[in-house]
Amino acid sequence: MKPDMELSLPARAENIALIRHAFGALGETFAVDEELLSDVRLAVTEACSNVVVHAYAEEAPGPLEVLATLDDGTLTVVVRDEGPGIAPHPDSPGLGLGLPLIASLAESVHLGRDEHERTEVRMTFSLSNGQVDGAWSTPPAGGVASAADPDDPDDQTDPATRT
Amino acid sequence: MSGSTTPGPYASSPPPEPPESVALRVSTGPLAGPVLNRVASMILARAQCPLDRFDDALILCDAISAHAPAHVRDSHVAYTLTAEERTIELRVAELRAGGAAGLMDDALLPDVGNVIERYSDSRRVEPASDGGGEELVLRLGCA
Repeated sequence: MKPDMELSLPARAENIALIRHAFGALGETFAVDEELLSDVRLAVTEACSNVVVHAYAEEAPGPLEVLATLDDGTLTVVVRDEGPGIAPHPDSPGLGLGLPLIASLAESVHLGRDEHERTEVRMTFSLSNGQVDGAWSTPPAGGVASAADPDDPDDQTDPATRT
Repeated sequence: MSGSTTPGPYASSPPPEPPESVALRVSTGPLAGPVLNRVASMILARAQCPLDRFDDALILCDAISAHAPAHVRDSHVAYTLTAEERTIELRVAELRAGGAAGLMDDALLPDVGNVIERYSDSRRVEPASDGGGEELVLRLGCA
């Protein structure tokens, strides 16, 4: 099954914002619960940050790929890189909370390698609480949805109505 | 007093970075337009695109994402956005043979003209790098 969305870009810090912004389209298009959308975006941000910080530490930034597939109410996000793999980093500048945070936000997390030996973090999120049915190629019932995007300068939703 | 020779914190600009490309592949459907617009807006903002050209580019993206699904080889459309100095290149890929011309034709609006021609600075059609179909390459000036 082909992913509904694939992004491939250099693993630079500034591109994390781009990925995060792209995932906001999920809320713009479908009636995804805002809190759940925030969880998805935070988990994806953490996974991408790990790639930027650790995957190509001493080299020029390599590729960062993010794939998202929605199937039967389950969103699967894969964050992929061509670094050496996931290993403990005692000298890491971070707190080491990235993967535990992802695990707490996602329904499931799988760390591994794909068929081309690329490192990947595979996360799933259940969107099936009456929010989204079917694939992203299916138009949303009731038209365009409503989740406000706090990162989107074009979002005209009254902040007072955001929960 | 002659000027100090000590460079200020912003005196030396960093060496120019090579053009950076973002590849996006998205299923045709309601998500296609919002995702392309969001990715394009980030690239345009990063290129410090003036607001009027920013709007032009998003209108162009709207037209492409609205009409490209009718001209793709399968259920996905691929884009590559590259920010260069004062220019953005938008490559629309995975179009079937004749799809680029079809996409251009569909962008013709009564009393407005062709949206793609109006809002892009140059257009060319290239054969697809994988040998099947073709790609429409648009350039937008951001000066």
